[in-house]
Amino acid sequence: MVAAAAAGRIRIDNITKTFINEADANATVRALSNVSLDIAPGEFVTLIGASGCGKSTLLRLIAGLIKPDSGSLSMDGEDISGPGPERGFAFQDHALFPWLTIAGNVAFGLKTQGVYAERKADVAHWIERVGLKGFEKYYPHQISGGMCQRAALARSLIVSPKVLLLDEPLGALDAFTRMNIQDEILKIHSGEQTTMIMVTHDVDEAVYMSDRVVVLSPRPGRIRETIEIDLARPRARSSADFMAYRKQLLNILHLGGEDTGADYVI
Amino acid sequence: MQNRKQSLAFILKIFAPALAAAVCLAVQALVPDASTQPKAKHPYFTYFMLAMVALQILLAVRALVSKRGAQKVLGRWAFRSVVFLVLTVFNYVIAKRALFPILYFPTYDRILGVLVEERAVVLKCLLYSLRLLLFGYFGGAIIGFFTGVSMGFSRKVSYWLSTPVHLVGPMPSTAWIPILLVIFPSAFSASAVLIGIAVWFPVTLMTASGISNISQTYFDVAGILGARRAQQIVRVGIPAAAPHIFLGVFNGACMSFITLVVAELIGAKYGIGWYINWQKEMLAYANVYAGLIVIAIVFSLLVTALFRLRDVALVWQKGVIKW
Ligand SMILES: Nc1ncnc2c1ncn2[C@@H]1O[C@H](COP(=O)(O)OP(=O)(O)O)[C@@H](O)[C@H]1O
Ligand SMILES: [Mg+2]
Repeated sequence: MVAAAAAGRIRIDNITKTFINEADANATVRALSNVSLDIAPGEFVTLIGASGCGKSTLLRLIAGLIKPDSGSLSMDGEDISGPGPERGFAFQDHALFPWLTIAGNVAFGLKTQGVYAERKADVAHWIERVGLKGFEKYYPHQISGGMCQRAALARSLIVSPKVLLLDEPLGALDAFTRMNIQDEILKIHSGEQTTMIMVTHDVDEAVYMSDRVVVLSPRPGRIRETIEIDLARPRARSSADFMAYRKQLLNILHLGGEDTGADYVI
Repeated sequence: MQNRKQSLAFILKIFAPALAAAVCLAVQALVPDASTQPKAKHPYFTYFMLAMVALQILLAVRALVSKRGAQKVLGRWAFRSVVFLVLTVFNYVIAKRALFPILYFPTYDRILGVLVEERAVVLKCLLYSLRLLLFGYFGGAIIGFFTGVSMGFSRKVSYWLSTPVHLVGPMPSTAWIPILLVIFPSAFSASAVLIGIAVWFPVTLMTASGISNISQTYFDVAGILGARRAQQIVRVGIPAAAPHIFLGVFNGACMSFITLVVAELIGAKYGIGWYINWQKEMLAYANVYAGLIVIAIVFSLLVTALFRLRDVALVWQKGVIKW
């Protein structure tokens, strides 16, 4: 595991990304402006900020799904040139393939890489690991949103990514399921030493899970502030220190109290 | 015994189709045909209705003893009863009273008589048509599938092909006949191509639109999991578009049958379409209707087979996509 921990460093150097509005070619949206961020192997970083401040764009850039206008992104010293299994991605709406069963979805990455025959057992292993044993033959529409999200995690993790990008993966779930899966993700994080970069709208979630919280501000999207969460794990959601971090974050986001002159809304 | 099963309404519904069939049989057997209607060799329709009454009684009895049987009959009782009543009305108006010109409106006895007495010719025609449909349908569907997939995945192919496809597709099949006869060496190949074109168009259209409607997220996921271009097509594009492709294949089946009669206008030696054309010219309308019945039966068998196939191959879309 030490060797695995040595990999998964993400380096984001002064990137800028502008989108051209599809409806009006003259209107451009500067989604990210001069963003730099170094993420250590095995680190858990959370991105938080108002809607439209470029969080998803940043994840998609790291995944290699889109390219920056300027600046560079690298993983373990190599430029990111396109998507690949070393950087997994969990989408908010789980994005399971509806035409495949849970087992088929989880096995997808093994099949595309042609290693399914020798690693068949991994499918059962990961399905059990995310608590879906017995649901192998179900189709996504037959199980709940939380279960789908678990299956999507298993699908991402089976190919042993060094980095896992999570774009509000728990946003659509109820509070109870959410806390459950948060612990599940943390277990995987400590077990596999995967670097995790997660977008969330939930301040509690950010404090509970992250080593570091990166607050972004919109128009253009840039890094506003970074907070190290220096709390031992597992964390108690109601401890005084936890509350202090929570308050600090809310203040940065202008959601803390009397200063309600919020210049943006979450 | 459950309350519901004993209720009068339940019994009435269960036996309604049998009752309607019995009414139809009674009218057929008891009311004599109009004297102007040519007689058939045997009262075939009486035999047919006898079998139908027996079948409906059997279904009703099964419904009394089995829950599944009851569900099946209850789901269709009104439709079946009305079918028998409509048959009765037509039979009365056409055969018993000869209210319509008898040339164009032969008795059921004579139509069924053709199927029995000329079964050798009809069967031969059917086999010829099936051979033509097999080549035309599968040829058109396969080529349409590949055209659609390449249009769906390649901007360049789509750029060059979408206008020709949209121009060629809706052209009436009769317009093709002279061109095809010049290009293709035999009448058979020309006919098969004619059917092929009719199938190719909806399959191409639905496949291409199915693929271009797939959410980009699925391709993103596949790319992240290491799928290369070919794998994206085979493992994401085609399964995701399968419901659309099926619709194209289904529409294609309808088109192929519609085109069959036209296709067999081109120098065919046998075939149901050819038979219908030929008998129409001879003003033998009983034979024409017999041919149409054969086409209808074969078509509904094909449609049933297609839907069975869909239920097996596309289980996943139950609850995802509404039909
Ligand atoms: N593909 C795109 N085309 C045009 N504009 C986009 C595209 N993706 C994102 N944007 C714009 O970029 C900005 C940042 O979007 P996004 O990264 O999705 O924000 P967030 O995830 O923080 O809510 C938004 O203003 C959004 O409208
Ligand atoms: Mg987003």
